[in-house]
Formats: sequence, structure tokens, C-alpha cells
Amino acid sequence: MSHKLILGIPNKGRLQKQTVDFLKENGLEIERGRGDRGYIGKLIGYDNIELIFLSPKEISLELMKGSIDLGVTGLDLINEYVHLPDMSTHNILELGFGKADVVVAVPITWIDVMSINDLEDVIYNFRVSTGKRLRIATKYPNISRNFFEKIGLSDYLLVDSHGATEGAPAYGSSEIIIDITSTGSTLAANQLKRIESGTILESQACLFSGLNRNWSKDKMITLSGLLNLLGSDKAHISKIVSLLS
Amino acid sequence: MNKAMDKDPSSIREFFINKGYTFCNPAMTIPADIVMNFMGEDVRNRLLFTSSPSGDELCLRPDFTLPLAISYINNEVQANKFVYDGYAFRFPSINEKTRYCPEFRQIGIENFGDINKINVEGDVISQACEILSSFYDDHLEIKISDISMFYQLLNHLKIDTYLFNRVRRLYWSGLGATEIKDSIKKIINTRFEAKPRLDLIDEYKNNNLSSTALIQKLTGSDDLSIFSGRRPDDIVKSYIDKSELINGTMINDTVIEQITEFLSIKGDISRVIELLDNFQKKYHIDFAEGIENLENRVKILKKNQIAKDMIEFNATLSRKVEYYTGLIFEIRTKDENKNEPIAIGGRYDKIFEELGSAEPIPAVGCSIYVDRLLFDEGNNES
Repeated sequence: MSHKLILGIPNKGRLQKQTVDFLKENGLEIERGRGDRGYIGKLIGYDNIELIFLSPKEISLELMKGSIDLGVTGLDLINEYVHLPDMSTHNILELGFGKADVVVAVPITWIDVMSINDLEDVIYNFRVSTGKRLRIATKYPNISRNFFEKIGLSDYLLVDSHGATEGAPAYGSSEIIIDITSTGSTLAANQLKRIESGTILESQACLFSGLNRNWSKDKMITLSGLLNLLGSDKAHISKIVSLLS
Repeated sequence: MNKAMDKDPSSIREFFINKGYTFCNPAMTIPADIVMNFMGEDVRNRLLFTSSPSGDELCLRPDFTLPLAISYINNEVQANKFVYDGYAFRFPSINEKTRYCPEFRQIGIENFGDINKINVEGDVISQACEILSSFYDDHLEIKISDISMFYQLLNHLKIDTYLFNRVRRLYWSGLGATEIKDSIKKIINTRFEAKPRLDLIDEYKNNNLSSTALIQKLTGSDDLSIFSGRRPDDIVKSYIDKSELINGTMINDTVIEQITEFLSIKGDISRVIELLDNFQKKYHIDFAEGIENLENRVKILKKNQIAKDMIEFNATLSRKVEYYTGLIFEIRTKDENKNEPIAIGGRYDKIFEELGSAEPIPAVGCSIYVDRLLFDEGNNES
């Protein structure tokens, strides 16, 4: 059993750059094995931490499975891919970047829909008048399902969408969408609007720990040191330690 | 205490066959759109879907009434009284403690086409009680309600279609009177966040503005192409309905009070008849027929050795299946730990018309939850 702490880092894209920058700001330099294509690496000067480069989705899944100790990924991906996220992961540090909301968005022409309440009426009437369920395009089927279950709505049909979800109503593959947005400009460009109470999740990049993992004393010491470097105070660190042990 | 464990549930089927019901085995799958139209929100959430080779969406039967009614209307069965025995499919709800898998066995009866409505209803309840009594030493409890009186009230109140449908949905989701009251208030208070543009609505009503133009003015954009399957006319109509409602022109507190007061009516039959009578006098609505039907049903039950004190009326009794049109009933054991009925049933006279029949066909039925009988005591004492 390794006494090293295994930390999952996004392997490409904006989230990777932001993570690297964030670590650098806190005095931590990454060395990636075999250049940019290597999948393992280390934090220079911290031999007890091993880095593994994975897609943010894989980081969520590996945290759940218990094959890595820590991981940087989006709150949205943890909620989408991890079954019962609170049972197998713990959000130990909000990193303040990658901020975006998972929202319900409807066509701006729907002037009668200002809130989820109004949307409920439309969804119900849509089924009654057309005999079909209103289609919602999303890459977040689990988050969407949980949201609608909570508010007691069932007359919708989720349509899988990977990329360019905002365009789905325009080319007729769905009536509305559930997607991630930060400034809302892509929504607006596609004639879509957010609605009241339609924000499902306020997401950002976070450092997660896996709860299905064996947390040895050595690892706990390494984690405390890391959190200290990242600016956590003593109270927070001891809270995390007691939660993991 | 409970004889259920050592009794064969198939005896229920035999009992009904001896009473003149024809055994039938209706289709396992039904077109999904039909099911969606009949089932309440709660059941729709728990359906099992599959698809035909041509891609049509099908649904495993969530009950027996629908597939049997479809067979009946297509002349695939030649009788009017049926007994069925088999599995129906719904994912368990959070509150169901007796089962973990989506299939559950139901034995039940249907009586189609009999115009002696009250007699048939009395017979169906009596027969169900008779056979279920053979499983239990203790008295059973019968809860009854009549949804036609509630619909009568909603029509009497002349509320708009929008609110009518919302109240109807709240009722069918199985909420109690206070919860329904709170929800209606919440709907009215939070339903529409926009400050309505009454000037534009007036222009529209005077035919000086088209639907599309109104939408353009409100959104401040004249380059609109995405309506997602809704017609601009419908969107504007809904906008106006909501705007006028928020202005308080269509609903007031008395309406909410009447709905809540009616839904709070419950208790033993004599008491309930008194309450219904007070209600009709207070709010000038004619419940004479509903009250008479209630009295007549109780008379038939009495003739069949079902004492008055076994029967309770509860106006919020709802079956989460939207096809009921009159009587709704459920049979329970006296065990206070049990919150699920062992049998349910009622009248659904509109089902055939909604399935495409030119003529209305009266229909009454009752389903017995076999799994609940067998698991009734919960703790295995043997």
C-alpha cells in the first residue's frame, strides 16, 4: 500500500490551465513525466504527493471508485457522475475558478414562463395538447432527473446532448435545455433565457477527497500540509482530518 | 391474527369466477402515450418503458384496467364482467415498504357497461370485502369518496382552466386538504414574476397587435425564430391569463376556502352527510345527487353485512390515477402501522370515451394487492 497521496489533476483544457495556475500561485510547481503527454507527475519538492492526469469526468469516477485520494474537478461533474456524491466524496476546498451554473433555459419567446412554476404548466399542457412529453436536451441527465424529482415533475423526456446543447431548440431536437452557463451570452445568442428558481447547481472547480479510500496517518499528514499551503486555516484542516479518519 | 400467510391468494380469483366474472389475461404492454394520459404524475414517474422494433414507445402495464379496457373496446373479449390475476409494473414509491422490485401481483375485477351504477358499486365493494375478510379475523376498514362532487364544486366556482388543472393535479398527487390549500396559495402568490404589461394586453385585445408583435415588444427583439413547438397565440393567451390572475381579477380567498373546506370533509357517514348538507347550503351548490348516492351505497353495503362503522368518507381520498370519475374506495386492515390499502377501486366512466368509444360505457373495478396481503404482518412470526 502506497503511503503517497495520489492527486488527480485535469489533463487538458481550461480547467487544467487554471489548476496549474492556482497551484503556482500557492507556490507549487508541477512536473509532468515525459512532457505534456505523460499521465503521471509530481509536485516539485513534495515527494509524498503523486499526480495523475485524467479528464475531469474520470477524476470524478476514480474518486468514487476509491482509486485516487484527491482530485480537482467540477462540482457539476461530481454530481453528474458520482452516485450519491456525499457518500463517496467530500468537497474539501472550493478553488474559486471554473465558476458556472447548471440551469434550465427556455426560449425567450416564452413570455409566459418566468419561473419553474410557469414551466410546470407548460410541461403539463404540452403533454395534454400534443400527447408527447416536452424534450429537454442536456449532458446532465442525472442532475436533471434529481432536480425534477425533487420538485415533483415527471412529464418531460431527456434527450442526450454532447456539445452545442444550446442549439438543440433551434434545430428542433428539443424544446428546452439544461446546460452549464457562466455569462449567459451563449444562451442569449441562441434565443434562450434563464428562469426563476431554474438554477439547479452553482458549480465551480473544487478539491475533492475520496471517502472510499484508505486514509493512513502518513497520508493525513501530507494532506494537512497541502491544505495549509493552499491557504486553509487550522480549524478547517482538523475538520477534514477528523472526517477522513 | 392474520390468516393471510397460510392462504392461497388464487382463492380470490376462484371466488370471483364463482360470482360470474370471466377470467382474462390482458396485454402486458400498452402504447406509452395512452398510459401517460391516464396516470397521475406520481405513477407516471414510476412507469417502465420499452419500445417496439419500429421505435414506438411502449409501457409495461402499470395496472390491469387500461389494457383490459383497450381489449374491450377492440372487441377482443366477449364478456362484461372480468377477473384478472397477474403482474403489473411500477417502480416502488419511497413510501412503499412491502416491495423492492417493480412487479407486483394484482387480482381484481372489472364491470363494464352496467347502467345500474350504484348497485354495481355496492356489489363490487361488498364482494371485495367478503373475500378479503376470509384473510383476516379483524374487521376491515373501508374508505370512500366521490370525485364527481369535487369536480362539481370546481365547475361551480368557475375558476379558469389553468387553475382548475393545477388544483386537479394537486388533488391527484394525493395531498391532504391543508397541503392543497398551501400549494394553491403558493401557486397564486408565486406563479408569475413579471410585471404584466396591461397596456400591451389591451392593444392585443383590441386587435391592434398580433401575438408575434406582442412577444417582440416584450422581449425587445424582432429577430425571433424559436418557439419550441408552441404557437405564439397560445403563448400570448397563457401570458394574458397569468397577468390577469396576478391582478386578482379571477380568484379570491373564498374560492380557496371553499376548496379547502370541501376537501376537509371526512368521518363516519352520518357526520359526513351532515357536513355535505351544511356545505351545500352555505355555498349554494346542489349536492343532492351526491348525497343520495352516498346513502344508497351505504344501504347496499349494510344489506351485505358491512356495518356502517366500518365505512369512512374522506374527500381527499385519491388514487393517483386520473381516470376516476365518481366513487373512489380503498379497503384497509385495522393495523395502524400499515399505511397502504390492501384493495382499491372505483368508477371510471370516461375511460372508454377517452380511448375512442363513440358511446359512454360505465365502468367500475377493484384491485387487490396480493403482495400486501401476504406481507401484511411485516414481522415473520413463524
